[in-house]
Parts: sequence; structure tokens; C-alpha cells
Amino acid sequence: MAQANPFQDPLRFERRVPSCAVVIFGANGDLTKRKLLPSLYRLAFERRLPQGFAVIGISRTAMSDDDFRRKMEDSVKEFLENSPFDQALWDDFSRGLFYISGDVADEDLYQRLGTRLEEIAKARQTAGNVLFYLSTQPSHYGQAAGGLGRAGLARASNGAWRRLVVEKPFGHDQASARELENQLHEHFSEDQLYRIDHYLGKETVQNILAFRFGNPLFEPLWNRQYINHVQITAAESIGVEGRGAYYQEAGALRDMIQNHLLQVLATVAMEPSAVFEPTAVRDERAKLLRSIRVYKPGEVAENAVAGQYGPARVGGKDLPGFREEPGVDPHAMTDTYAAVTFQIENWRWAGVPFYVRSGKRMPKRVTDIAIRFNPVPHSLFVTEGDGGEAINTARPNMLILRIQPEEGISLRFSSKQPGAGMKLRPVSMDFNYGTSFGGRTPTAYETLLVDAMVGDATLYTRQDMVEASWAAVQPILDVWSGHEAEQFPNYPAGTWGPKASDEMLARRGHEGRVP
Amino acid sequence: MAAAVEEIRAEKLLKDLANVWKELNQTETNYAVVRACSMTLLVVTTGDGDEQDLAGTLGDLMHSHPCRYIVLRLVDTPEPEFAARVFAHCQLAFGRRQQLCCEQIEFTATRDRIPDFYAVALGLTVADLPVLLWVRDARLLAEPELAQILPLARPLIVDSAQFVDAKSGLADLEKRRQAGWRIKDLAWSRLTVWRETIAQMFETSGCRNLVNRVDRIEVKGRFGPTGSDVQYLAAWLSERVPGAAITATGSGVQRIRLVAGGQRLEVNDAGEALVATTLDGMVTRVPDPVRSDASLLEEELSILGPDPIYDATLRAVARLTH
Repeated sequence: MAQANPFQDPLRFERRVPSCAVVIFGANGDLTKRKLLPSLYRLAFERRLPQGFAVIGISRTAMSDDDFRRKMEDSVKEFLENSPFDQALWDDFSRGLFYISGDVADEDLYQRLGTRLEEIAKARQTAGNVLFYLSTQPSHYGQAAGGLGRAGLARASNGAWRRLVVEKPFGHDQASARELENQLHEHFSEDQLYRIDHYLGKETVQNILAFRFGNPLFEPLWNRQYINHVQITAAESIGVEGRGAYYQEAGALRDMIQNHLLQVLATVAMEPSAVFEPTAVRDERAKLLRSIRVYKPGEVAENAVAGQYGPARVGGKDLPGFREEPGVDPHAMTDTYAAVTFQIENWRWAGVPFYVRSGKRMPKRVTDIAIRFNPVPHSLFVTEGDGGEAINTARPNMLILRIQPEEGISLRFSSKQPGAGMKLRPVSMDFNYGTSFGGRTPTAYETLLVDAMVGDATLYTRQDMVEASWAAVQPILDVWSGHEAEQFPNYPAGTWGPKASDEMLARRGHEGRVP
Repeated sequence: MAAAVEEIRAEKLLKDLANVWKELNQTETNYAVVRACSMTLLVVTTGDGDEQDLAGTLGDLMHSHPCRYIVLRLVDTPEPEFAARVFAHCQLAFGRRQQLCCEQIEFTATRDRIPDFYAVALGLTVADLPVLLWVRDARLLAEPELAQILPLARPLIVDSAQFVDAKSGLADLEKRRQAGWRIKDLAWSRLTVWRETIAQMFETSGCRNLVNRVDRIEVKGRFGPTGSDVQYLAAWLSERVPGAAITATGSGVQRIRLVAGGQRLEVNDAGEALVATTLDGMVTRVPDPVRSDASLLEEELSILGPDPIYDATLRAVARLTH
């Protein structure tokens, strides 16, 4: 057994990444260039990487190690966020970059990879630990996992570890998610699998846990007795931006709600785990996801709304409708907007609707979670309306957890308006991360890459969570697949989505927020 | 907004501060003004000409640790002096639409008025938030007058790199630590990169099993007498590997060499980087840019509770130098 390192200082040093090699399938792709290599370089800059470290890129393009290094240097320079580029550091870091060209379907690739990994383990002292990262097309996941397994690369000797990171989507529907699971599990055990959902790596999403379980003030109120409903919004102002072909097969429900937003919902609604440890936290998330009511086909129309943006003139600029976007079928039935009322069937949340919506071409880019508390049981502050009706001037409290772009927390409460009489007005108490924690926060990929190398799967999705979230959205997808073409488009670009979405909330006596 | 000697009272200064905020909100039309405060930082300094430097440091620090700054500038004037002014540091918050502002109360005083400062400062610290004292000019630690204001805060920040006699300076810090102060030394923060590089060396597969076989350590500085940096590293290493023979010379760390099981591991200073050489000549470059006081303070202020490794090191320094 390895001896403890007496030189570590956990108060001052960041978490230790053990010696390892990272093997990236799809090394010539966008994700590698935009996110993975810049994140790894930044981790080197922050002294988070071990001295025994290497990256092996794999893709079909023929390239030498030096070509790959040059290409990655260009990418890091271009996509490094809020960070300086240090040439000397890059020269040192890039000595640990290697490249193998090959097709994931070719068994020989894995033999060559195995040989190279052995050489690199000796030369770079990576201790035989390997993190495989699938950044390829999802249709290649099974082949790559199978190839690694058959070449004996999914298991290591001498106590070294092998892990496999998989990018979303984890299947296209419930059936394909199970099929993918079977392919991955043929050679990798569940504890070797790291399904990445970059939303969970965002500092502000992680902070939901700190906010809920680190502050005794709110947790006693966090249940059906005090909370009336929850609205989770993830709006994008942009359209499909060149991803039309991909997006028309996915849609907002698959692309955002099935994974990112259901994970956010689970983080907001889960029970506290006994310890902050990967299995315990993920057990609670999974339990919550399994508590989501699975709708019968007849219930879908009442609880889910699909939308697709049409053309509009916004701010003096003509924006195309989704069907006019490049690469998109002019009759596409894709949902560029989806709103779903989720119901959590457990003691804490029974009867509290969770309205989750996501859309493209909305008026602005914003992601937030609004928790609306119950009104006071009996109001002292009532005024008379025009028709003589009693109007309660005490508005219910609202807690807003802002994820992007202005990360923070706001609490809305009622306050007396200055002057005679007792008129109440809602005011907001704001906490802004920027004013309390300045400096640079790590990107989601930096956080998640370190976690995978360290072996901390807390922020990664587990198979039972994937299945539970598919179970929650599959009936909706099934019903929507029978939509009539003339229903779309049903909201103009630059608006907050179709009217039916507001009506869905209104049926329960609630009002859609404008975030 | 300077106040005359007889007028300096905490209530009056707090009222002046309230007026500063009122004026800022009235005059600023482009950006919202947000007052931020997560602690009180008392700063004691001397001399002229460092106003800009200190303002820059506090301005940089407010990004990560927005504070109410209470600055005492000690002056040597023939007549007793005690004056105060209040103002706000404002910066646009990271490309946002808000101006992030911190408040500062700055006193100028001759040494005989230190008790007056103490009395006023007691009423100026922000309630329910941590209070820290940074003695920016380390020479002041030797002055008996300073003892009058040390009780204002338990965390005491110094920079032992300024000590003329590092041995007695560190011994004095250890005495203060034993008396209940929580010592924070910027010189220690400067060594984080060295310590972390050493720790990382022993994470590699080749070196992991050498940890318990380190039998000889050399910490070498560039310049003359042994400085606090070299003493700290030697003490820290002696604490971490108690059986090893240690030699430590000079100041301005240039090299740390460890011999373990006959193998030599080294970390060398190479300007803006450290170069670590482990087994088989494997070389790693670790960025080590010159760190500003703000960056060092940021590290220290992020540890508000006990720092057992530093405390043990300071204790070991005293032990080794005896």
C-alpha cells in the first residue's frame, strides 16, 4: 500500500490529482479543442496536475505527436478563458502530449494504444492509471468501450485504476440508454464509469447543496408545508448556431431537461445525505429522480408543452425560424422549447409542482430556480380592489437561486412602504457571488476532470439516475412524436415561449415568471 | 473629508461613511453601487509614499475579500497628530453592471496617539464578521506602542521577509502565537509553491515509496544570512520527515535537495518558475510568478481558522534555532 504523503497541506493545496494518463477519443473534435485541452492546461497552470501526467489523443486524422501538440497549442491559446498563456509552461506540458491515429472500429487501434500506454507509463511515470474520455460521436461509445475491453485496457494490474468518462447524450431514449448501458457494462463496472453532465460541475449548481445543507435557516422550510411551487428556467437567447442537424434530432426536452435540468431539480429537491461522499449523495439524487411521477399518455397534454420558434424581427434584426435554420428540415417537428410540470411523489414534495422549462431564442440567456413559498395563512394587510374585493398586499416570499449569468441568491419579501397607512411592497434582498467571491472560478470541465482523475464521482451521473430521468420524460417524447406538423412554429423568436406554457401553470393557479 | 483631532469619534466616522454611500448612490448614474464587506481588515503602516502601493493592494484584495479597511498610518511629526478620513474603493465588478465598493477609514497619527486610535477603532469594526490586523511594516512589531493595538484582532498578519534578524523575529512570532494570536505570515504564503512542488514530487509512482527514506535535506538560499523563508522550509521539512539531517543556509530560496534511498530529488528556482527534477531526470516546470501582497493576503485570509501545519512549522523554527 502506498505511504501517506506527509508533505501535503490540504488547507492550502488543492486536491491531489494522482499520476495518470488521459486518453481522449475524438481528440480532433470541438470539445477537445474548446474545453478539454484548455481545462487541462489551466489545471497545469494552477499546479493541480501531478508531475506524472500525460495526454494521449486519438482520432482518425493522421497526425504526428508534434502536429498534435501544435494543434492543441493553437486551441489552448484560442479558447483559454480568463487565463494567461505561459509558453514555457506549455512547452513543458506539451511534452506529455501524444497522439495515435486510428478508427474506433479497428481492433488494432487498441493494441497500439496498449503498447503506447505502457511506454508512456514508464517514461512519464503515470503509474498505469488511465482516464479514458469518450469525446466522440455518441454512436461510437459502445465500439470504443468494447475495443478497450477486448484489448484488456479496461482493467489494470498493480492497483492502478482505469476509468471511462462518457459525454451526454446517454442514449436517445429509454431503450437506447439501456442499450448503451449494456455495451459499457460489458467491460467496465459502474464504479469505473463517469457520465459527465457539465451542469453539475458549475459552481453555482454545486452551491445549491452548500446553501441547503450548510445553512440551517432554510432547510426546515424546504418542503410542501412552506413551498408552494418551484420554477426552473434555462433560457438561451441564441438559436441552434450551426448545430441544426444535431439539434433537430434532439430537441429541448432531450438536450436540456432530460439531463441538465432534471439533475438541477434533483439537487434542489433531494434529501440530505448522511455524508458528503459520492455514493451517498448520488443515492439521494437517484432516489429523488425515481420519485418523479411517470405520466400516462393521457396526462401528458396537461403537464407538458412543446414549442418551436418561428421567424421574428427582434431589435431591428430579422431572426429566422427554426425551420429556416441551416441544416434543419423545413418540416422539422423538433421542440426548441419544452415546459414540463414534474410532480415528485414523496412525503416532502407531494402536491408541489416543479415547473421546468427550457428554450432557444428566448429574450435573454438566463438559468435560475425560483422557489415560491406559500402565502401567509391569514393576511392582516388587505386593501380593497376596484370592485370592492379584498386584495392581500402581502405577496408570498420567493427565493431565487440564480445560476447564470449573474450568479447569486435573491430573497423577495414584503416591506412596509414608507408613509402613512400600512401598504406592503415586495422588496428584494440580493446576494451576488461577484461581490463576495471575486477572482476566477474554475470552469465546469476543470472541476469535473479533476474529480474524475481523483475518483470522486459525486458530480457525475449514475446509470440509475440516467434511467430514472429517461423514465420521467419518455412518455412525453412518445406523445410528442405524434405531433401534427402544423402545430409548429408556435412562438416567435425573442419571446418567452408558447402561450400554452403559461396556461399550464395557470391551470394550477400559478403564474409563469419572467426571469 | 479630514476631521480635526478632537472630533474623532466612531459614531461621527460611521455617519461620514453613511454620507459617502449616499453621495455615491446619488452621483453614480451608469452603474449600480454595491457595498461589499466580508470582514474588517486593520492595517498598520508607516512612512510616506506608499499610499498608492497600499491602495493598489487593498483594491486588488477587495475582489476576493471585500473588507472594511481601517488603516492607521503612523507618522513622525514634531506635534502630536491624529486625523481621520473616510472614503470608498470602487471597482467595476468583473464586467458586470455593478460597481463593487468597499469602505476605508484612514487614520494618520503620531505614536503618542495610538491609544486614541485604539479607542476609536473598537467602535469601527464590523459586527459579527472576522477582524484581522495586518502590520504592514514589520519593524513596528518591535515597538512597545504597537502592543496597545494588538488586542484589536487575534489574527495577526505580518511579512517576516522584512525581518532584519529572522531568527529573533520568528521567535517573537512564536511567543505571540503561544500567547493566543493566530499568526499569518506572507513569507509563508510565498513558500506554498515550493511546498506544493515537493508534495507533488512524492505523488509520482517512482517517488511515492521514497517518502520514508528521505535522510538528507538541503535548503539553499541565494543571499547571506539565513532568512525566514529558508528557516521556514527547513522547519517544515524537519516536521514532515523527522529523521532527516537538514542543512539550511542563506535567504531567497534557490534550491531544495532531498536525498532518499540514495536517489536525489531537487527543486530549483528558475526565475518565474520552479523546476522539479525527480527520478530518471524527469523534469517538470511549475509556474511561480512573483506574487503581489494582495495575492498573498488572499491566501492567508482564506484560512480564518487554525492552520496546524503553519503553527507546527513556527514551533519547529523556534526549536531548531535554539
